[in-house]
Amino acid sequence: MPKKRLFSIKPFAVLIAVIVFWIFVPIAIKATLRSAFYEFQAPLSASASYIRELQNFWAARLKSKSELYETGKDLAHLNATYELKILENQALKQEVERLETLLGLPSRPDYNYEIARVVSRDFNSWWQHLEIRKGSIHGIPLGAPVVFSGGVVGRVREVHKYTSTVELLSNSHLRMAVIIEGDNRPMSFRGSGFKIFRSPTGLAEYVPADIKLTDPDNPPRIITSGMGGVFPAGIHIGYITRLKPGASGMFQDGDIVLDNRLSNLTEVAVLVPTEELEQ
Amino acid sequence: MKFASKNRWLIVAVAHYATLFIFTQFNYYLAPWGINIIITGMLIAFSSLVLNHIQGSLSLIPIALFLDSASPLPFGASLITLIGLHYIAVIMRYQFRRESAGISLGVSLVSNVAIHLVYSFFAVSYLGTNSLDPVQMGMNLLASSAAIAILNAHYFRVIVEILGLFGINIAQEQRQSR
Repeated sequence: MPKKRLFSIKPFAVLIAVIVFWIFVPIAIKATLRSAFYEFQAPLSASASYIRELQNFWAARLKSKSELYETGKDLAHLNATYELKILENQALKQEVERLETLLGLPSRPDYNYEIARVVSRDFNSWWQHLEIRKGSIHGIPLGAPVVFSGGVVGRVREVHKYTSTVELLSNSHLRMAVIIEGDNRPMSFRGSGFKIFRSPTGLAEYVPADIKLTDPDNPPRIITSGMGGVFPAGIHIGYITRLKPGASGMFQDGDIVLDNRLSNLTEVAVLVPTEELEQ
Repeated sequence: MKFASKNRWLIVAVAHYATLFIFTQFNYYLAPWGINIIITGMLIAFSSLVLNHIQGSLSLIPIALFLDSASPLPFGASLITLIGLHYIAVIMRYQFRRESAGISLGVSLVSNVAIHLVYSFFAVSYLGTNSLDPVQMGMNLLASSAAIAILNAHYFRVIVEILGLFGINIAQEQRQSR
């Protein structure tokens, strides 16, 4: 009867060889390998998003003519409202420019909106990222702010040839200066993850001690401050739902509930500074 | 057919990649509920229990690098994790009857739990502890384990059948010649 093997040294040797080899591989080679692996599989993940669009297209084709007529009518109403808003915005923009010249203020940064479809959502226990179908070829810069109709989505973390990775607002690595609407005092915001079956959340630090949650139906709204120069001022982030004493004792920390729609986004807009486009 | 037999790791790597791709699509639709399914443990179990240790590691290296390319952790974190767990399974496999469905399921589940633990360790070291929610981690681990419990036997059978299409009959081969 052959002797039963209980242990083999060979696998151990191979494992140690692989680890030692990987430690000594130069960083440049690792970076190239990473980029090569990402770009190699990127067309496949992008194709999945094209297939999803095709599914939506055929699903829309199944709708009745009366449904399409109703939708068209609603869109016509919306377009009329937006046209009025555009005229209003143009008048306000001219007024802002006039006041800036009059007061000698530096002009606000100007952005171009690059609309991008979401390819994949990577919302696991450790990080929350979106992959979008626009990359360096479309002029997406690293660190650009990403927004949607409900406010801030996050920031571009990596730019590849045809796709980019966006870190979501709930990601703990994303930090920015924020303010409470109607209050100029800056606070610090960082993501605090994704709660299961609930909205993504964030945390506001250095909330002034005089801020109170008096009306639960009308909690303080957090918006971008415009400081730091990445995010333009006044974009919605979320609402403070709970306040607790901060570590320093002088300030408070506030739990922020972010927009529910962040978890099922299909389209976002990347804000590309016009200076970047001119370069 | 001899080429396919010698390079069976390539067939297994493609099958692993296709599985990960399908689960990426599942996770896209599960994202609104905050659930994320990770089935990498099942891939490790197949490569460790069915292939020899070299072929197994060759089949896992491209998968690990693919995972690493999309992750914010240092490049190579998944590689070291997957290869490390593969060799632990290889070393352990001499102790039990690896053809058994129960053993393969056990190895898949244990590997998946180990991956969650190692990723959490890396996340704490490189991304901080701020956004780590034990409830969410537990729920994701539970969902992943449930997915593995349902799919493990089918996954093993399907890949063995795919290998069979290339003339590789796993059942007839001797353990040592795999």
